[in-house]
Amino acid sequence: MPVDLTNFRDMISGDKELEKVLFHEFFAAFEKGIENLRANDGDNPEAWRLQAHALKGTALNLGAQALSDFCRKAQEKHTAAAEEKRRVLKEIEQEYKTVKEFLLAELAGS
Amino acid sequence: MLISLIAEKAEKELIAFIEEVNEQNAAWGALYLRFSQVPLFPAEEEMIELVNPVMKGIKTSIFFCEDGDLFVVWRGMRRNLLQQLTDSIYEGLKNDLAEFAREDLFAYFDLLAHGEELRLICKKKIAAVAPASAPLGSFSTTAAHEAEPSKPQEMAGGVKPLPRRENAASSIRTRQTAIPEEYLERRRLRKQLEILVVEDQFFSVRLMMSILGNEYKIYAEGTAETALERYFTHVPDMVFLDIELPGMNGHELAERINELDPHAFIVMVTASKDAHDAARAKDNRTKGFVVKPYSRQKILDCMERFMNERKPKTEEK
Repeated sequence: MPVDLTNFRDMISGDKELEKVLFHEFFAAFEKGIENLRANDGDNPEAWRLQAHALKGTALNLGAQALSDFCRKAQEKHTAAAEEKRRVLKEIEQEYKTVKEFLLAELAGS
Repeated sequence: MLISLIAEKAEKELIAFIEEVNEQNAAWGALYLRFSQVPLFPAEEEMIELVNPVMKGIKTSIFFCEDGDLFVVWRGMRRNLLQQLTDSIYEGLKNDLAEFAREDLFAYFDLLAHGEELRLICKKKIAAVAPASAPLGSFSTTAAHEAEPSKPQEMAGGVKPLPRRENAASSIRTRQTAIPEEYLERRRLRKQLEILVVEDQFFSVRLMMSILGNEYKIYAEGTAETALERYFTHVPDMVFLDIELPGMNGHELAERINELDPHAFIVMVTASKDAHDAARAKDNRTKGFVVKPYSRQKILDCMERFMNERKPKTEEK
């Protein structure tokens, strides 16, 4: 399972409406974040590091452990060559896709 | 239309101005704006925008004092201008002034009748800032539309730019070394706890609000700079502070808050497991260190720690 929602649902006291809002907020944060990473894979390592760190925290708070691990990896590679960064970004994008499908299925089922 | 700005050595300039007015027996009115009593004071361009429409065609000078107070001085004794002027300034700045009674902020002086009183105010200000003041230049500009207020340092040599509203946090840093006692008193008296969440990810803010928002009043800020401003103006009971922030980071903000408020209750929040972060948080005398993911229990434990620490203090009083 790409996301363990147990802790997340405890934090929001099982509020389904808020869950829906936060899933969409999560999509927005990641899509914007991935865009920012793509824009900063070359000459701005600090911007890359900060963005990867922010995504890592968001993924952790949702319960998307594998996605947060990829973000941590991206954060650690903030000074790596652009090609290396693009490889990590690809991993983030793939895992994000999996997480998003999972969350959309959750939304459809609720 | 003529507006002069006196941005440095303003108090001395005003004293000289009063003397000149008295010698000439000329009629001038002065509005004293006590912005040192509020957390923020307006930048030059902001004042011009607010004063300009009211003082159409009237010779006007604005004196910016070191402590944030202002004097708007105009030729003639048209008292009807006073209400318009205070209305314009108060309306223009009301977000920042909302909590303050306007009668405490505005005072009117007739320079001929009250020159001595005004001179004493200026002298008191000079005495208050003198030890900390470096030698300063001064600048003045005529006709607001010709001025370049966004670049005052380019106007004349040796000019020290005034603190600016958009850089409010640094204004507070240079002006304030502690939270005023009346703000702290307001905190002591408040019934509902107020919590500041400093976090640049909306998703995480919403989670925190869902845990605490029903019981406590929550403020959220996405940068350390705006959070510092918020801390100063609202003096929250406690702060959840993310470490990685754009610009000034959470550790630096914690240091600043502790300087302003020795009784601050700060809990650091981070997605990092770096031992240096934990050590620095400890050095900063923060009261907790929460590693993401949050959990309801972790946050409630912090609240419990806060309540326990607060209890003996309350009983002492």
